[in-house]
Amino acid sequence: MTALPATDPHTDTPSAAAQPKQTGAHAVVRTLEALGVERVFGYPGGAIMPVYDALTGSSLKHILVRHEQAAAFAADAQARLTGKAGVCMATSGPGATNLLTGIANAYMDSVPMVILTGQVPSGLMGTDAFQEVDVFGMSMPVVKHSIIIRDAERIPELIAEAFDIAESGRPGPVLIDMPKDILQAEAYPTLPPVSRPTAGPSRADQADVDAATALLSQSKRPVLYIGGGVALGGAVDAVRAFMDRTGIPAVATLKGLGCPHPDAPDYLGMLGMHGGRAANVAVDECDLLICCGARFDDRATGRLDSFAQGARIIHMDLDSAEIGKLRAADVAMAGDIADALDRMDPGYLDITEWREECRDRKARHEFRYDAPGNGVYAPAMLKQLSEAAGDDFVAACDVGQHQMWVAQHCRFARPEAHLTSAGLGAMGYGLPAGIGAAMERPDSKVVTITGDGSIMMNIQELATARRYGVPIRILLLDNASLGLVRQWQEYFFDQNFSEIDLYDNPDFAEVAHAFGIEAFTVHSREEVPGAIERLLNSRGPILAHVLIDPRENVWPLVPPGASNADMMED
Amino acid sequence: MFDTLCVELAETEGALMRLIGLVERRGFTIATFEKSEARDGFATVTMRLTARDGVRNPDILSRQIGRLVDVRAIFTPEIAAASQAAHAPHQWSQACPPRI
Ligand SMILES: Cc1ncc(C[n+]2csc(CCOP(=O)(O)OP(=O)(O)O)c2C)c(N)n1
Ligand SMILES: [Mg+2]
Repeated sequence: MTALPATDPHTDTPSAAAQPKQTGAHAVVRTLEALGVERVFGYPGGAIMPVYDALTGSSLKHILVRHEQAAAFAADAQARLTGKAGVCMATSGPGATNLLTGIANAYMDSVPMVILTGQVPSGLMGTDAFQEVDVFGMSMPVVKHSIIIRDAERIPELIAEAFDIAESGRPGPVLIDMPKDILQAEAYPTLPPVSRPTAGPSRADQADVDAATALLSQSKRPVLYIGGGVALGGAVDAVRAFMDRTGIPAVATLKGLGCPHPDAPDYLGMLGMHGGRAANVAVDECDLLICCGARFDDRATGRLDSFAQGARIIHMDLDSAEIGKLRAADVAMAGDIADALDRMDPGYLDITEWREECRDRKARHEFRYDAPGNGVYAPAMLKQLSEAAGDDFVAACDVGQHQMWVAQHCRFARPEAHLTSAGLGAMGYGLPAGIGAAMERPDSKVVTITGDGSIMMNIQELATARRYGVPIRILLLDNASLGLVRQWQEYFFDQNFSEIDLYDNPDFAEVAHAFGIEAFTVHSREEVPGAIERLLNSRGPILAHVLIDPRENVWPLVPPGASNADMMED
Repeated sequence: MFDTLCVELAETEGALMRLIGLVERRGFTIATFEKSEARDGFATVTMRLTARDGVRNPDILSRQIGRLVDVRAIFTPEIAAASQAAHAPHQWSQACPPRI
């Protein structure tokens, strides 16, 4: 292997040296092709220029975003839909640091992703070179694994391993940092085999399955607590079958939405800070909590020491490190959730009274959509939108009140239909995630649901939507404020409304027009049905700018530090 | 309970940083630290740890360490000793938990 002369980092341009026939950069591109990658989201720059050079003539489709964070979010959304690692890439320094929020987002929500970063040449690493940051070190807390490639001949092997790690077990992001001299080195490595072996998950011990079944048989008031790990572990059908078989009432976390069938009679909805009364009270009163792929996150549990206080706990998770982390389990089952559920057969359960009680509470506390006035009532609009879109609906949410309304009022036939930044809660996710999703599922009804604050975090991606003719619909709920923060200030900071007023927002329909995107504004309730029809019937990109009342809040709300049972209601 | 962890760690770039960073981030202080020379690509790291809040469970920490790709095995000498006298403890404290 011959290393080429390094580029001059100060001019940020490649050296004039003749390109070798095959380089490390070619190996990167060929390996991605061999691994079946079709799409890469990225943004070029000095250190990664060899890879951009090698892209010419490749079957890889590179999507040029307008900010690296958007590359990560788009790759993340694609991965959530496919279960296969999304791929994004950026240059060293600012390109790499711009990716970090997206990497953290994937880590928090266990999304498989492979991130390729260019790096300054090996000899300059550690010298504070131009556009040098230690992204390997900076990203360590938010990656499943990371590597710096030190030998061009090992590129295929290391990239294939990165995909394996990202996709297997509990998925997560894997970062590959690639010094420029490695990318430019002449290299003829062997490509990896096309199909990658992945080890299956372990199975719960029979003794634990028996212990769990025994607890279940004794229980009078069991509840299933369903989290994102169910979908990640391919256990959605098993959960639904278990619910049908046992009739146990179920609640879901933000990431668990779509796992229980939305019309299942014993599904009580989302629990937690903005969960429904039926869900939170059921958990509060249960005597057995069967936790499937959830992690007792504080947004779901409220005050932890009063969460399901009187209940025994069965905890199933693919990741044994989640079991007992925040709440001790009476029975712990690490491994395949579907397998464990299938093996639990408690026979007849004497829970009719409890089930009726839960169903009754659910009926009494259904959301109401008869808000007074003529203004657009966002919860009702979202409900109508998701029902009109039907099983093809895919929501890519931003973060704020609108995100919580989506979780409460939209109907999700499958968990992949709900793309949301759950663990990180990153404003700016919605638009790039919608782009990634709509590119992957052009025939679905992909709708980005965003707020006037959130859209401004990645509004430049309207250019990406326009450039690639992405079939995305954008529903922008404009309350001229950072609504969720405003709501907290209203209730927990003595109405001291500090820096939440976005009275001087631009006219978002005009902004969209300037990007060459069809857009219209919705002012009143009677315009809503037409707006939904127009959005869904358009191929997109299209943006509906919907003006809503800034005083509208998200209900119920569990105050910070309170028990879920002590929720505030409108 | 235990406070000493032996970790068999691949001698790869960043592995040590990853291990130490994880321990610190998860709320533990490293009281003592010793690393052997690597043999066949693996070194042994022995750490005595204390939970910063005096409450965090080192058992969970050992499973979080077990998730690291660079970690081949984890050994807790106190538990190993206790298990010979009493009933068997959690198995994943004896060796690396299944890689996830
Ligand atoms: C990147 C980022 N910065 C800050 C926050 C804190 N935050 C959470 S919700 C919110 C307001 C969001 O405003 P908007 O998008 O208009 O949504 P709304 O609540 O008004 O529906 C803010 C600032 C965040 N979650 N992410
Ligand atoms: Mg807003």
